[in-house]
Amino acid sequence: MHEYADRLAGLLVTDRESLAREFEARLADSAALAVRVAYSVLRRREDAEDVAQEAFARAYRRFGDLRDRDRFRAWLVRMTWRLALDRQRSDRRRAAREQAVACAPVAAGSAERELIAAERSGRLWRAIDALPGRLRVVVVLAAIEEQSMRQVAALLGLPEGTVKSRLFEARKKLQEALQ
Amino acid sequence: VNDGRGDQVMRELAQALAVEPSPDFAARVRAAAAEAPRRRWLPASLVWAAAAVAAGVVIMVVAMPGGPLVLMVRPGPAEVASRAPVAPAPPRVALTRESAAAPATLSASSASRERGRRTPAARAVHVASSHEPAVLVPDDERRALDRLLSALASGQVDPRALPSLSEDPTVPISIPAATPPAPLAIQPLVDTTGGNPHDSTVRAVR
Repeated sequence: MHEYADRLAGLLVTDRESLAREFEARLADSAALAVRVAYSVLRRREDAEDVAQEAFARAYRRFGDLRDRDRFRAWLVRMTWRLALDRQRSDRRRAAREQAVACAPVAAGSAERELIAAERSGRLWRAIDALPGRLRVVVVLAAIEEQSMRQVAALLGLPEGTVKSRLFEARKKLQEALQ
Repeated sequence: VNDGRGDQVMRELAQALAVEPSPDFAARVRAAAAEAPRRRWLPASLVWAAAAVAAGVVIMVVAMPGGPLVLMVRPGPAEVASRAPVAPAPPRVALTRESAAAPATLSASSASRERGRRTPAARAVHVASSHEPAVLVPDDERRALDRLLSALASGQVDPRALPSLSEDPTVPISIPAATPPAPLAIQPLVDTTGGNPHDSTVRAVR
Protein backbone atom coordinates (compact mmCIF):
# COMPACT_ATOMS: atom_id res chain seq x y z
CA MET A 1 0.00 0.00 0.00
CA HIS A 2 2.80 2.38 0.95
CA GLU A 3 4.57 1.47 -2.24
CA TYR A 4 1.57 2.54 -4.32
CA ALA A 5 1.19 5.73 -2.29
CA ASP A 6 4.86 6.56 -2.78
CA ARG A 7 4.59 5.85 -6.48
CA LEU A 8 1.50 8.04 -6.79
CA ALA A 9 3.16 10.83 -4.82
CA GLY A 10 6.18 10.54 -7.08
CA LEU A 11 4.00 10.83 -10.15
CA LEU A 12 2.28 13.89 -8.73
CA VAL A 13 5.59 15.53 -7.89
CA THR A 14 6.91 14.73 -11.35
CA ASP A 15 3.75 16.12 -12.88
CA ARG A 16 4.03 19.26 -10.78
CA GLU A 17 7.65 19.75 -11.77
CA SER A 18 6.86 19.27 -15.42
CA LEU A 19 3.98 21.75 -15.11
CA ALA A 20 6.32 24.28 -13.52
CA ARG A 21 8.79 23.83 -16.35
CA GLU A 22 6.05 24.22 -18.94
CA PHE A 23 4.81 27.37 -17.26
CA GLU A 24 8.32 28.82 -17.38
CA ALA A 25 8.42 28.07 -21.08
CA ARG A 26 5.05 29.76 -21.63
CA LEU A 27 6.21 32.76 -19.64
CA ALA A 28 9.32 33.18 -21.76
CA ASP A 29 7.31 32.58 -24.90
CA SER A 30 4.35 34.87 -24.26
CA ALA A 31 5.56 37.63 -21.94
CA ALA A 32 6.12 40.14 -24.74
CA LEU A 33 2.78 39.30 -26.31
CA ALA A 34 0.89 39.92 -23.07
CA VAL A 35 2.74 43.13 -22.29
CA ARG A 36 2.14 44.50 -25.78
CA VAL A 37 -1.54 43.64 -25.73
CA ALA A 38 -1.89 45.46 -22.43
CA TYR A 39 0.24 48.34 -23.69
CA SER A 40 -2.02 48.81 -26.70
CA VAL A 41 -4.80 49.68 -24.28
CA LEU A 42 -2.95 51.40 -21.43
CA ARG A 43 0.02 53.12 -23.16
CA ARG A 44 2.20 52.91 -20.08
CA ARG A 45 4.73 50.20 -19.70
CA GLU A 46 4.35 49.97 -15.92
CA ASP A 47 0.59 49.57 -16.12
CA ALA A 48 0.91 47.13 -18.99
CA GLU A 49 3.34 44.99 -17.01
CA ASP A 50 1.07 45.04 -13.97
CA VAL A 51 -1.84 43.83 -16.05
CA ALA A 52 0.21 41.20 -17.85
CA GLN A 53 1.54 39.98 -14.51
CA GLU A 54 -1.99 39.61 -13.18
CA ALA A 55 -3.00 37.68 -16.30
CA PHE A 56 -0.03 35.32 -15.90
CA ALA A 57 -0.86 34.76 -12.23
CA ARG A 58 -4.41 33.82 -13.16
CA ALA A 59 -3.14 31.55 -15.89
CA TYR A 60 -0.84 29.87 -13.38
CA ARG A 61 -3.76 29.08 -11.09
CA ARG A 62 -5.49 27.11 -13.82
CA PHE A 63 -2.46 25.97 -15.73
CA GLY A 64 -3.62 22.37 -15.48
CA ASP A 65 -6.26 23.22 -18.07
CA LEU A 66 -4.00 25.44 -20.17
CA ARG A 67 -1.01 23.25 -20.89
CA ASP A 68 -1.50 23.41 -24.62
CA ARG A 69 0.58 26.30 -26.01
CA ASP A 70 -2.02 27.67 -28.44
CA ARG A 71 -4.76 27.44 -25.86
CA PHE A 72 -2.58 29.13 -23.27
CA ARG A 73 -1.71 32.05 -25.55
CA ALA A 74 -5.31 32.52 -26.65
CA TRP A 75 -6.52 32.50 -23.06
CA LEU A 76 -3.71 34.85 -22.01
CA VAL A 77 -4.45 37.37 -24.76
CA ARG A 78 -8.16 37.48 -23.98
CA MET A 79 -7.55 37.75 -20.24
CA THR A 80 -4.93 40.47 -20.68
CA TRP A 81 -7.18 42.43 -22.99
CA ARG A 82 -10.08 42.24 -20.56
CA LEU A 83 -7.95 43.18 -17.55
CA ALA A 84 -6.43 46.08 -19.45
CA LEU A 85 -9.85 47.41 -20.41
CA ASP A 86 -11.01 47.08 -16.81
CA ARG A 87 -7.98 48.95 -15.62
CA GLN A 88 -8.40 51.62 -18.25
CA ARG A 89 -11.96 52.22 -17.12
CA SER A 90 -11.14 52.35 -13.46
CA ASP A 91 -7.91 54.29 -13.63
CA ARG A 92 -8.34 57.88 -12.58
CA ARG A 93 -5.06 58.87 -14.11
CA ARG A 94 -6.17 58.31 -17.64
CA ALA A 95 -5.52 61.89 -18.65
CA ALA A 96 -1.98 61.65 -17.40
CA ARG A 97 -1.57 58.39 -19.31
CA GLU A 98 -2.66 60.02 -22.55
CA GLN A 99 -0.03 62.67 -22.01
CA ALA A 100 2.52 59.90 -21.69
CA VAL A 101 2.13 58.98 -25.34
CA ALA A 102 5.26 60.96 -25.91
CA CYS A 103 7.10 58.28 -23.96
CA ALA A 104 6.36 55.74 -26.67
CA PRO A 105 9.37 54.61 -28.64
CA VAL A 106 10.14 57.19 -31.28
CA ALA A 107 13.09 57.63 -33.54
CA ALA A 108 15.83 59.76 -32.18
CA GLY A 109 16.57 62.93 -34.07
CA SER A 110 16.08 66.59 -33.99
CA ALA A 111 13.52 68.23 -31.70
CA GLU A 112 11.33 69.01 -34.70
CA ARG A 113 11.37 65.41 -35.87
CA GLU A 114 10.59 64.22 -32.36
CA LEU A 115 7.70 66.62 -32.18
CA ILE A 116 6.33 65.42 -35.51
CA ALA A 117 6.74 61.82 -34.50
CA ALA A 118 5.03 62.40 -31.15
CA GLU A 119 2.17 64.16 -32.88
CA ARG A 120 1.81 61.37 -35.39
CA SER A 121 1.95 58.77 -32.66
CA GLY A 122 -0.74 60.60 -30.75
CA ARG A 123 -2.96 60.69 -33.83
CA LEU A 124 -2.40 57.00 -34.40
CA TRP A 125 -3.38 56.08 -30.86
CA ARG A 126 -6.41 58.30 -31.00
CA ALA A 127 -7.43 56.57 -34.22
CA ILE A 128 -6.89 53.18 -32.58
CA ASP A 129 -8.95 54.22 -29.58
CA ALA A 130 -11.73 55.38 -31.89
CA LEU A 131 -12.07 51.91 -33.38
CA PRO A 132 -14.80 49.61 -32.10
CA GLY A 133 -13.45 46.98 -29.72
CA ARG A 134 -13.98 44.10 -32.13
CA LEU A 135 -11.81 45.87 -34.72
CA ARG A 136 -9.26 47.24 -32.30
CA VAL A 137 -8.17 43.90 -30.86
CA VAL A 138 -7.80 42.46 -34.36
CA VAL A 139 -5.63 45.26 -35.68
CA VAL A 140 -3.49 45.33 -32.53
CA LEU A 141 -2.85 41.60 -32.63
CA ALA A 142 -2.11 41.75 -36.34
CA ALA A 143 0.40 44.52 -35.70
CA ILE A 144 2.13 42.76 -32.82
CA GLU A 145 4.98 40.78 -34.25
CA GLU A 146 3.17 40.93 -37.61
CA GLN A 147 1.16 37.85 -36.82
CA SER A 148 -0.61 36.00 -39.62
CA MET A 149 -4.37 35.92 -40.00
CA ARG A 150 -4.38 32.30 -38.90
CA GLN A 151 -2.53 33.13 -35.70
CA VAL A 152 -4.83 36.05 -34.90
CA ALA A 153 -7.86 33.88 -35.57
CA ALA A 154 -6.49 31.22 -33.24
CA LEU A 155 -5.77 33.76 -30.51
CA LEU A 156 -9.27 35.22 -30.68
CA GLY A 157 -11.09 31.96 -31.31
CA LEU A 158 -12.65 33.39 -34.47
CA PRO A 159 -12.87 32.08 -38.03
CA GLU A 160 -10.05 33.28 -40.23
CA GLY A 161 -12.49 34.92 -42.68
CA THR A 162 -13.98 36.99 -39.88
CA VAL A 163 -10.54 38.17 -38.83
CA LYS A 164 -9.68 39.12 -42.42
CA SER A 165 -12.82 41.16 -42.90
CA ARG A 166 -12.39 42.91 -39.55
CA LEU A 167 -8.78 43.74 -40.28
CA PHE A 168 -9.73 45.14 -43.67
CA GLU A 169 -12.36 47.34 -42.05
CA ALA A 170 -10.01 48.45 -39.30
CA ARG A 171 -7.24 49.44 -41.68
CA LYS A 172 -9.66 51.38 -43.80
CA LYS A 173 -10.90 53.32 -40.80
CA LEU A 174 -7.35 53.99 -39.64
CA GLN A 175 -6.35 55.35 -43.02
CA GLU A 176 -9.34 57.64 -43.06
CA ALA A 177 -8.56 58.90 -39.59
CA LEU A 178 -4.89 59.52 -40.33
CA GLN A 179 -5.39 61.33 -43.64
CA VAL B 1 -6.35 47.83 -48.27
CA ASN B 2 -3.05 46.21 -48.98
CA ASP B 3 -1.65 49.32 -50.54
CA GLY B 4 1.44 51.11 -49.28
CA ARG B 5 -0.53 53.48 -47.09
CA GLY B 6 -2.22 50.66 -45.20
CA ASP B 7 1.04 48.83 -44.73
CA GLN B 8 2.65 52.01 -43.43
CA VAL B 9 -0.09 52.38 -40.83
CA MET B 10 0.44 48.83 -39.72
CA ARG B 11 4.19 49.33 -39.57
CA GLU B 12 3.74 52.43 -37.46
CA LEU B 13 1.42 50.58 -35.17
CA ALA B 14 3.81 47.66 -34.87
CA GLN B 15 6.61 50.09 -34.04
CA ALA B 16 4.47 51.80 -31.43
CA LEU B 17 3.69 48.43 -29.87
CA ALA B 18 7.29 47.23 -29.86
CA VAL B 19 7.68 47.45 -26.12
CA GLU B 20 9.67 44.78 -24.35
CA PRO B 21 8.96 43.58 -20.83
CA SER B 22 11.38 44.90 -18.27
CA PRO B 23 14.11 42.50 -17.14
CA ASP B 24 12.46 41.85 -13.79
CA PHE B 25 9.07 41.10 -15.32
CA ALA B 26 9.56 37.33 -15.27
CA ALA B 27 10.70 37.43 -11.65
CA ARG B 28 7.63 39.47 -10.69
CA VAL B 29 5.37 36.98 -12.45
CA ARG B 30 7.04 34.09 -10.62
CA ALA B 31 6.56 35.84 -7.30
CA ALA B 32 2.91 36.57 -8.07
CA ALA B 33 2.37 32.97 -9.16
CA ALA B 34 4.01 31.67 -5.97
CA GLU B 35 1.66 33.80 -3.88
CA ALA B 36 -1.39 32.79 -5.89
CA PRO B 37 -3.34 29.89 -4.39
CA ARG B 38 -3.01 26.84 -6.52
CA ARG B 39 -6.60 26.13 -7.32
CA ARG B 40 -6.11 23.01 -9.39
CA TRP B 41 -2.88 21.45 -10.50
CA LEU B 42 -4.43 18.27 -11.78
CA PRO B 43 -5.91 18.37 -15.25
CA ALA B 44 -9.66 18.04 -15.54
CA SER B 45 -9.31 14.60 -17.13
CA LEU B 46 -7.67 13.23 -13.97
CA VAL B 47 -10.43 14.68 -11.81
CA TRP B 48 -13.05 13.03 -13.98
CA ALA B 49 -11.17 9.72 -13.90
CA ALA B 50 -11.03 9.81 -10.09
CA ALA B 51 -14.76 10.53 -9.94
CA ALA B 52 -15.46 7.59 -12.26
CA VAL B 53 -13.39 5.24 -10.11
CA ALA B 54 -15.21 6.39 -6.97
CA ALA B 55 -18.57 5.83 -8.66
CA GLY B 56 -17.46 2.35 -9.72
CA VAL B 57 -16.49 1.44 -6.17
CA VAL B 58 -19.88 2.60 -4.90
CA ILE B 59 -21.68 0.54 -7.55
CA MET B 60 -19.60 -2.55 -6.69
CA VAL B 61 -20.41 -2.23 -2.99
CA VAL B 62 -24.12 -1.83 -3.65
CA ALA B 63 -24.24 -4.68 -6.16
CA MET B 64 -22.38 -7.20 -3.99
CA PRO B 65 -23.74 -10.78 -4.21
CA GLY B 66 -25.08 -10.63 -0.69
CA GLY B 67 -27.12 -7.54 -1.41
CA PRO B 68 -27.22 -4.43 0.69
CA LEU B 69 -27.34 -4.63 4.46
CA VAL B 70 -30.79 -4.36 5.99
CA LEU B 71 -32.04 -4.45 9.54
CA MET B 72 -34.51 -7.24 10.23
CA VAL B 73 -36.38 -8.02 13.42
CA ARG B 74 -37.85 -11.46 13.63
CA PRO B 75 -39.06 -13.66 16.44
CA GLY B 76 -36.93 -16.59 17.54
CA PRO B 77 -39.03 -19.40 16.12
CA ALA B 78 -39.22 -18.09 12.59
CA GLU B 79 -41.31 -20.94 11.21
CA VAL B 80 -43.73 -20.87 14.12
CA ALA B 81 -46.72 -20.86 11.80
CA SER B 82 -45.80 -24.09 10.07
CA ARG B 83 -44.55 -26.11 13.00
CA ALA B 84 -45.82 -27.49 16.20
CA PRO B 85 -45.80 -25.19 19.19
CA VAL B 86 -42.30 -24.50 20.42
CA ALA B 87 -40.82 -23.22 23.60
CA PRO B 88 -40.82 -19.46 23.99
CA ALA B 89 -37.62 -17.72 23.04
CA PRO B 90 -36.57 -14.09 23.10
CA PRO B 91 -36.84 -12.28 19.79
CA ARG B 92 -33.68 -12.07 17.78
CA VAL B 93 -32.60 -8.78 16.34
CA ALA B 94 -29.80 -8.87 13.85
CA LEU B 95 -28.36 -7.22 10.83
CA THR B 96 -28.62 -9.64 7.97
CA ARG B 97 -28.56 -9.81 4.20
CA GLU B 98 -31.78 -9.42 2.29
CA SER B 99 -31.27 -12.63 0.37
CA ALA B 100 -30.79 -14.59 3.60
CA ALA B 101 -28.06 -16.65 1.98
CA ALA B 102 -27.02 -18.17 5.29
CA PRO B 103 -29.54 -20.54 6.83
CA ALA B 104 -31.08 -19.68 10.13
CA THR B 105 -29.44 -22.60 11.87
CA LEU B 106 -26.02 -23.92 11.00
CA SER B 107 -24.21 -26.96 12.25
CA ALA B 108 -20.81 -26.42 13.81
CA SER B 109 -18.89 -27.57 10.72
CA SER B 110 -21.02 -25.65 8.25
CA ALA B 111 -20.85 -22.61 10.49
CA SER B 112 -17.06 -22.74 10.46
CA ARG B 113 -17.06 -23.13 6.68
CA GLU B 114 -19.46 -20.23 6.41
CA ARG B 115 -17.26 -18.14 8.67
CA GLY B 116 -14.32 -18.81 6.38
CA ARG B 117 -16.21 -17.53 3.37
CA ARG B 118 -17.61 -14.45 5.05
CA THR B 119 -16.62 -11.03 3.95
CA PRO B 120 -15.66 -8.50 6.66
CA ALA B 121 -19.15 -7.04 6.40
CA ALA B 122 -20.72 -10.46 6.84
CA ARG B 123 -18.50 -11.15 9.83
CA ALA B 124 -19.68 -7.95 11.40
CA VAL B 125 -23.25 -9.11 10.78
CA HIS B 126 -22.51 -12.43 12.44
CA VAL B 127 -21.06 -10.70 15.48
CA ALA B 128 -24.09 -8.45 15.69
CA SER B 129 -26.48 -11.39 15.50
CA SER B 130 -24.64 -13.42 18.16
CA HIS B 131 -24.93 -10.63 20.68
CA GLU B 132 -28.73 -10.39 20.25
CA PRO B 133 -29.17 -6.77 21.29
CA ALA B 134 -32.68 -7.09 22.70
CA VAL B 135 -32.56 -3.47 23.66
CA LEU B 136 -33.50 -2.65 20.08
CA VAL B 137 -37.01 -4.08 20.70
CA PRO B 138 -39.28 -1.94 22.81
CA ASP B 139 -40.18 -3.44 26.15
CA ASP B 140 -43.92 -3.63 25.57
CA GLU B 141 -43.41 -5.42 22.25
CA ARG B 142 -41.12 -7.93 23.92
CA ARG B 143 -43.72 -8.62 26.59
CA ALA B 144 -46.38 -9.10 23.94
CA LEU B 145 -44.20 -11.54 22.05
CA ASP B 146 -43.48 -13.44 25.26
CA ARG B 147 -47.21 -13.74 25.97
CA LEU B 148 -47.88 -14.91 22.42
CA LEU B 149 -45.17 -17.55 22.53
CA SER B 150 -46.35 -18.76 25.94
CA ALA B 151 -49.86 -19.11 24.58
CA LEU B 152 -48.54 -21.04 21.59
CA ALA B 153 -46.55 -23.34 23.84
CA SER B 154 -49.49 -24.07 26.09
CA GLY B 155 -51.81 -24.68 23.16
CA GLN B 156 -54.10 -21.79 23.96
CA VAL B 157 -53.46 -20.33 20.50
CA ASP B 158 -53.66 -22.35 17.32
CA PRO B 159 -50.46 -21.65 15.31
CA ARG B 160 -52.38 -22.05 12.08
CA ALA B 161 -54.47 -19.06 12.97
CA LEU B 162 -51.40 -16.81 12.94
CA PRO B 163 -50.35 -14.96 9.78
CA SER B 164 -47.53 -16.71 8.02
CA LEU B 165 -44.29 -14.79 7.97
CA SER B 166 -41.88 -14.87 5.09
CA GLU B 167 -38.12 -14.20 5.11
CA ASP B 168 -38.56 -12.06 2.04
CA PRO B 169 -39.48 -8.55 3.21
CA THR B 170 -41.07 -7.76 -0.14
CA VAL B 171 -43.74 -10.46 0.29
CA PRO B 172 -46.78 -8.94 1.94
CA ILE B 173 -47.94 -10.49 5.16
CA SER B 174 -50.96 -12.67 4.56
CA ILE B 175 -53.50 -12.45 7.32
CA PRO B 176 -56.12 -15.19 7.28
CA ALA B 177 -59.65 -14.01 7.06
CA ALA B 178 -61.43 -13.91 10.36
CA THR B 179 -63.76 -16.88 10.88
CA PRO B 180 -67.29 -15.56 11.47
CA PRO B 181 -68.96 -17.02 14.52
CA ALA B 182 -71.83 -19.37 13.92
CA PRO B 183 -75.26 -17.69 14.20
CA LEU B 184 -76.72 -18.02 17.65
CA ALA B 185 -79.98 -19.99 17.63
CA ILE B 186 -82.16 -19.71 20.71
CA GLN B 187 -84.41 -22.68 21.12
CA PRO B 188 -87.56 -22.49 23.28
CA LEU B 189 -87.41 -24.32 26.56
CA VAL B 190 -88.86 -27.78 26.43
CA ASP B 191 -91.01 -29.03 29.36
CA THR B 192 -89.77 -32.47 30.24
CA THR B 193 -92.81 -33.13 32.41
CA GLY B 194 -95.18 -32.74 29.49
CA GLY B 195 -97.10 -29.82 30.90
CA ASN B 196 -97.26 -26.20 30.02
CA PRO B 197 -94.06 -24.55 31.13
CA HIS B 198 -96.02 -21.59 32.24
CA ASP B 199 -97.93 -23.82 34.64
CA SER B 200 -94.89 -25.00 36.47
CA THR B 201 -95.20 -22.31 39.06
CA VAL B 202 -98.77 -23.22 39.61
CA ARG B 203 -97.85 -26.85 39.95
CA ALA B 204 -95.11 -26.05 42.36
CA VAL B 205 -97.56 -24.06 44.42
CA ARG B 206 -99.91 -26.97 44.31
